[in-house]
Amino acid sequence: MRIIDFKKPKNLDEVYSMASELGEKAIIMSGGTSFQFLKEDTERIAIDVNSAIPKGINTDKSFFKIGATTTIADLQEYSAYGWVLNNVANKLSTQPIRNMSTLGGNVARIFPWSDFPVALLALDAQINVSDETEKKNIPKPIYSSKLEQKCQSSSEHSTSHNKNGFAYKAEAFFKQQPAHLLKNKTLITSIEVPIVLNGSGFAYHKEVRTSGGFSTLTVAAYLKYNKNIITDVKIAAGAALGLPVRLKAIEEALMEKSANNISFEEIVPVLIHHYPWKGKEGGSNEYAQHLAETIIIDVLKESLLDAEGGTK
Amino acid sequence: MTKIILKDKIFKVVNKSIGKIDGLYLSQGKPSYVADFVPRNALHVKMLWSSHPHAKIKSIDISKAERMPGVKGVLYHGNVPRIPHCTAGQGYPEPSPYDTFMFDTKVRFVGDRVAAVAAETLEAAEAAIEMIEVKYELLEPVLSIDDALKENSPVIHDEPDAYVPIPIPFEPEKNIAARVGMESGNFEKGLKDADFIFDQTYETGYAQHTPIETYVSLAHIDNLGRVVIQTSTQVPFHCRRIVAQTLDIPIRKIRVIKPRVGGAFGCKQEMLLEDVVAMFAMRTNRPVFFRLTREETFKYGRTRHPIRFRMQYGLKKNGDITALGMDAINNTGAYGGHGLTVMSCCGSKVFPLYHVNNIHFDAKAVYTNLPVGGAYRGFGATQAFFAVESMMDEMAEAIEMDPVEFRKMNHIRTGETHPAFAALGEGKDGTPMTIGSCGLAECIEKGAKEIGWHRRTSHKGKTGRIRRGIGMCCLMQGSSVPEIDMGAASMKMNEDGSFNLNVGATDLGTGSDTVLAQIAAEVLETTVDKMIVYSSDTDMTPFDVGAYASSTTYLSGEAVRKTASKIKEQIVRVAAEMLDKKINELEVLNETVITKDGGEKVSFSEISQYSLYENNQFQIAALESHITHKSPPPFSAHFIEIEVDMETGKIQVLKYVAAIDCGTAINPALAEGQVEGSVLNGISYALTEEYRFNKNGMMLNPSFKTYNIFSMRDLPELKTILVPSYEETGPYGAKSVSEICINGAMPGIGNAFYNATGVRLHKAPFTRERVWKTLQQSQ
Amino acid sequence: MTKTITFTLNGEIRSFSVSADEKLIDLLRRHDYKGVKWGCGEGSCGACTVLIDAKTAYSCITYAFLADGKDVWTIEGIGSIDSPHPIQKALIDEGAVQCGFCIPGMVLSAKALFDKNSTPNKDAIKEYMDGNLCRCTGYEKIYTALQKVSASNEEVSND
Repeated sequence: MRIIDFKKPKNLDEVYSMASELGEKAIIMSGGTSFQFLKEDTERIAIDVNSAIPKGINTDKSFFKIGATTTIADLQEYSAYGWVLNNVANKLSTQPIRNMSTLGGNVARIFPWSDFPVALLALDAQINVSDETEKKNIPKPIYSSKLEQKCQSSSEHSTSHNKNGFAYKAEAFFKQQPAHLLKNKTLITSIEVPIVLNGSGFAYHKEVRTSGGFSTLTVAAYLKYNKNIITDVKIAAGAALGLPVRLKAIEEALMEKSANNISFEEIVPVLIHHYPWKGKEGGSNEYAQHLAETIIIDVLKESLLDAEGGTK
Repeated sequence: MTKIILKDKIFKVVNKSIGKIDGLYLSQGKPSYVADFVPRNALHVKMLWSSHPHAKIKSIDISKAERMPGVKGVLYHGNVPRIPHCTAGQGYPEPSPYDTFMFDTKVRFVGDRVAAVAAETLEAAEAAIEMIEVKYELLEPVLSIDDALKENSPVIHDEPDAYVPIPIPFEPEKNIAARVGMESGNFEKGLKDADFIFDQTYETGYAQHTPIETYVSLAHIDNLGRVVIQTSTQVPFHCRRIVAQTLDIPIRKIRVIKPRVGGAFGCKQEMLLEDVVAMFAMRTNRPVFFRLTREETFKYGRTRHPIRFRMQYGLKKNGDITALGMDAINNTGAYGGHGLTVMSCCGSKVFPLYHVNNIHFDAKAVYTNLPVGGAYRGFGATQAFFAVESMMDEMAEAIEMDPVEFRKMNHIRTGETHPAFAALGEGKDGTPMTIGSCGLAECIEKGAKEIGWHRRTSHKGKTGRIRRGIGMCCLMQGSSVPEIDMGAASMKMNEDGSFNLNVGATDLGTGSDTVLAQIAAEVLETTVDKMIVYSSDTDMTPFDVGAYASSTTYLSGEAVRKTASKIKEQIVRVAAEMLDKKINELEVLNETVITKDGGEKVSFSEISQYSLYENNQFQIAALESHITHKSPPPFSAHFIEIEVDMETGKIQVLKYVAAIDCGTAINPALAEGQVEGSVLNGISYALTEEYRFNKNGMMLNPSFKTYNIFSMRDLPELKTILVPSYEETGPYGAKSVSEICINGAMPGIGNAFYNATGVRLHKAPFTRERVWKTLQQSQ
Repeated sequence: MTKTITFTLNGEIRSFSVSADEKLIDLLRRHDYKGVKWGCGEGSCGACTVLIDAKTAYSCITYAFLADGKDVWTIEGIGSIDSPHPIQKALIDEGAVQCGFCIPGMVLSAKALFDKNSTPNKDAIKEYMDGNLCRCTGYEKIYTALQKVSASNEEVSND
């Protein structure tokens, strides 16, 4: 892919008018670090949305709202009660990439190694998109609401918000390559993740050969318990699967079970074969499944420990 | 000569961690490397590489490419001389088959040369590459050593004009590029006399050196019509000779200059780009720049030979090794350069470590349609030590002896010799040698203490998912190629008491410019900042084979010492004339020549001024050469603690101790740097580095993202212990240090793994899946 | 399509004419900033590291356009022969410079780290430096040198 021109719209209205004008030639850019992986033989005009879409992390009742152009480095450095994404961010690639890559960029196009999508699935994150046109061909989101664009950061952003927006829960958003979704001129504006409170925990693991290497298996889990019973559990895996997915069969089996390691050790091995684990880096599917079984149990144990306050 | 022990010596400059003379300007990012000197009007080269592993080129049409905008030249087999040669940077005549052509009518691996374009811009060159039309006749590819050795296997080198320049075994019709071996004592009897017999096969895989600077060359025609090549090379003089050979032009028409090199580790002991840039420069009369991408470096650049070893041992209950058998087959890839010498070193740099005279050694280098093996730090010894040092542990266990004790019992000592020294040379007879210095015992003792060898518990009874283990290994290497390789140095004196020191020797970042300056400064009782070092320019510096075989300190250093000694003699002679004294009344001290009673003195600058301007004027200068007559091994003992995850197969190094005897470390900080760099490379070679291929022989992971080397974040705890000894035949007692320590991680980690799990690893790299599968199979 | 971009380079405001597809490394090197090294072209090895708004970036995958309006530093802006930056001095003194090809990138990454946090601990150093590959040194002396810089910053702040 070759970039032949850059545009830097000042607000969402300008993004839409530029995107309309340029049609197929346009490509949305925030960090731009994934462009080197696009092997298409095309000429594109990059629309740099860093001024149009806010950066920054804000707290709103029970969730964090993260502007889509927030860099991974910002997520890595942010610290607050119940904030868990720093431990996801610090494992993404290497520091110069973390400095440039944005959260929006990392979820707008799923690559096989799937860092954030897995974490966002486990957190049942909400991906807020803005959409200019009436949508006919976009799959129905699990939960959608009309949102107003709220500008979180500096006043240089336009405060006009007469565009309607949609929110997708992570599971709906990642059911297909989001790039297809976003082709219809929807833009990710922000992502919301829950504040992980006491009694709930989160854990994340990337299986890599060396730091900075591609993941062969990424797993994340969110777990909540009350009076020794699992009241909520979400597990997601990627890299060793086609698209990152929630492991619903395992989740259902774990609900209401005792909140201890034995539950994980008993249930996961029975259900692991429900998913089509794929060997990476020339590895076998057999090992990929075994690795998945091992790591999913590890991550669940860690999320329980986190929920018990063990890692806070 | 009386034996001198290091601690008796007082050195002023040598054995000091003097800052590298280029450290400051390198840390400022000053233009230093080939790519920093590319003139604005340079043409850029792109190569069309083969996407087939084995094919005949039926036709090539370059006419469309030639007409593309900005294109100034296209090379292919039809418009260049067809001169068989080898690209390996070795002394002439090379112990390698002449099986390579600048451009051939056949391609032999995915990544082989097909045609080259020189154009005004890189984009123009890339566009022209697309326009070259090639018709291939596909041939059956040979993608493993077993396939290569099958009866009726396709012959990869069926060209009638390939040959060997010296009488070394060469059977291309059987896909055998080289063969070497030795028999000493009575191997069969040794096995019969044994209480225990062992028979085990080990296998190592592909690896690439991944210097951060890829292959880079720049050529232009100077005002006298000569081709000047600035190139990132380990072997400027070999490069000059091979370019002359392949372009069929006289050597005097070529000048090769090595500026700063961004790492090499063996992959640049080769003439890989220089013929192409030189040819384009001659034809276009423009400067020509050629840089391989990282992907091209992985695919077309040289690699470490994968080798399979069948090891046989005989052992007595008391720990005597009665027989050693090594049958080795290496995959030399599509071309045979370095194939023979790497296999030689599997024996010559490994067998002598332990007392055993009944030896059977048979090694073959085999052609395949895969990326080409070349020189890589360790050079066969690395692969062989995996087999040998793993076997040493297996043998120790069989007789229930501590692995450290078993090695202490069996290793070579000062004053001893070994038949392998005489039997195995580099394509010729070897050089018999007696060990002049061996600090291995002390290395073992110090390393064992540092790791806490006593903490090592048996693997038996260990349960649990996370296991720890401690393993060790002993190592040797060599210092230079005796009787064959030569290095020379020249010096002249300037009127401020400074000296120009011109050496052919090749600093790759290893710091040889600094080390050689230290040696010269030590001889001359002066300081390193008085040395103006210029190196690796075939016009301006005397000959040196280049940086390989761990030669620079031991071989080139001795040439420098001799040269500096001659300079010293002249200085004293002039001083005697100035002071009207006899030579034996004078001595050199701190940049002055002083009468022994301390009464009168003259400074170096006064002496030089006198010699240049005042009386009996002459230039104080000298040029001395050196060849070595032995290859004294450095010795090392490595102790490694690891953690194993039995469920995922992950091995993590917790602590790595490398104790090394390199004789006198001319520059201890630089010596440590060599140890640390080679150790970490050894670790990732053992654990994470591999080449993955598809069914068509195409390398699938030619990128740092998919070929995994360690970053600082992966760095385990490293501890380097320099153990001094004194090698009389080396300058100020020095031996080599640059290669040996890459040899330890694979066997050491393998042995630690056995300690943790009770399971042996016979195939490398120890990737998670391979480890896990091995653990599964052992249950 | 070429455009003019303006940014601060090593403390000076500069304008350049660039084409849209041009990467920052090519812009810099063709203006003789040879300290920005080309090692892989894919944003992995870090030899091309520059600072953009005080943070490290791989100039080989960063479009030159994106530097517009920013504050960019290359190794040429760090220290001098007569007065090396403390990080450069620490690396040289420790013997951490071998072939030198990775060193400009290491210096810039270390500078960004220390400017953000003058006393990083071992883990913070390793995490921040994970994007600069080296094959010569095994990182050991670079790591030691940076720990020494951190320790000496600690001393200074304790004075």
